[in-house]
Amino acid sequence: MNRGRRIWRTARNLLCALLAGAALLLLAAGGPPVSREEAFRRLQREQFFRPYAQYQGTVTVGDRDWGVGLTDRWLLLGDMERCHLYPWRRQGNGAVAAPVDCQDRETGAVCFLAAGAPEGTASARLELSLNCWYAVRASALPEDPGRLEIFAAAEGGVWRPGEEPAFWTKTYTLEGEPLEPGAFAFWLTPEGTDPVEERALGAACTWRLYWWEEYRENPDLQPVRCTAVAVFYDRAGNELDRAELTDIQGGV
Amino acid sequence: MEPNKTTVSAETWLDTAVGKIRFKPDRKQVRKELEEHIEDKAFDLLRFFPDLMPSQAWDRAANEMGDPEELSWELGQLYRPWLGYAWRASQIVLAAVLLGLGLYLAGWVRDLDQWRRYELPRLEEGVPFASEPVTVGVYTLWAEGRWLPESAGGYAPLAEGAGTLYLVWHAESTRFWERPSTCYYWRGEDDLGNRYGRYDGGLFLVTGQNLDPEVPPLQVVTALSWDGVWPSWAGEQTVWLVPEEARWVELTMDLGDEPVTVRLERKEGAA
Repeated sequence: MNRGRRIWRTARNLLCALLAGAALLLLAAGGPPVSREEAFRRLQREQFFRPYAQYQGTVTVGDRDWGVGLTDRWLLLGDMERCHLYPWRRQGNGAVAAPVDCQDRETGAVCFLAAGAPEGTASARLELSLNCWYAVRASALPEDPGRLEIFAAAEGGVWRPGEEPAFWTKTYTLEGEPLEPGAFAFWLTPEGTDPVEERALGAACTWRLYWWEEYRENPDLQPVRCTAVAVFYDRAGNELDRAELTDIQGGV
Repeated sequence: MEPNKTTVSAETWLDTAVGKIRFKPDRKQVRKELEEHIEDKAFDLLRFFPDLMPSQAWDRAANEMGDPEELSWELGQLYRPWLGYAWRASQIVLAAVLLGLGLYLAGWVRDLDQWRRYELPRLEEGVPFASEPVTVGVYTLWAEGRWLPESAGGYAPLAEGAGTLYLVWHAESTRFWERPSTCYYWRGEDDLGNRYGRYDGGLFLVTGQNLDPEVPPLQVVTALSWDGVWPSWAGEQTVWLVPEEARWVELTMDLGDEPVTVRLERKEGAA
């Protein structure tokens, strides 16, 4: 075979392999590679969501990416790995705050989002208050320190003889991490310096915070009460707007 | 033949002459061409010298072709190996990619065949309902199904004159990589004024309620979960406690600011 013919055949083979490989990748990966914003739009298309939400950024919780969008009705969270949209009801046209329905399993952190920040916002802060009634339930084993039981309310709890129900409350102030192009993410991690009981309570409450069912159910049944207020500030530190997350006005 | 050169056999001469061509297919090809030349020459010699043995004619013809070492060096310069290796590598890469693509497409054809034949169990039974195709974004959707006088999944107790509407949805789009994903946010109503609320499995099990407080707790539209392969995407959905007399049921996916509504009409002439 002469030299020119071989070069031509080599080039032809490589071109065909490139095209076939691109087709295979396109099929196997479920589409061409796109930006995070376009991936979030695609998720909306796949759920017949119209028109597109205004893109507010993407936050990564654990190993899952969450697209954030805003419409007149919803703060929209898109779980990009599990292809699911979580809408959180928006009151009016102002800012809105919501938890991300996910926990970072490694750090135990949960994430709150605030979107729809007014123009000129330079920073945001979240004041998060948690409280619950609890008791340390004794174990039959002398070396076992017992376990924490969190109850819906002191009056409604089923206390065992000798148990002393206690009220726990804690307020966290979380600085917002800006997401391109508009929302803020706030991270809550049970603090390592707290006393053991305090930390256990923080962790026990924290895992309930991200679970959307908690917000939907009857507040009287909720063992952990939470209020969260996101406040937006301009560069001079003046308050521009605030968004309150309440127990029951959340997800659909 | 030069007198000072050592005479070698034709085979040895050929092996030496092509010895510096490193790419084996080239080496074989050049050897074959040289062999043909030697063969021609050997036939000529046998014609002029009938007493020669054929092997002697071959050896003499080969040695008259010149110094095999010198020829080998020249051929080695001419047939560089990298081009041959690149060509062979390109063949292997192409074969591997085509094999992968072929396996993928074979799987797709198998799944497609399976989903083309997809239908509800007992499709022959019950009262048929069907919708017209509607365009939603990049998709065209339509549904068909059967009303059966039975409760759904054991959750909803069967009310008198009511049953379950079992639906299969179909979706088409030119974006073959964008299969619709599970849609949870449905509500519905029928021509008798009944309304159907959204079903949420977890909450339903906890509270026994659907998500619309103004709708009877068991009148629900379940989530629509999609499966199948392009272009035969299909999804299943059920509507609970639909009265037997219902002529149509309208289902609305109420999530975006532009809700999607599809009306399922009872087919004329059906029981």
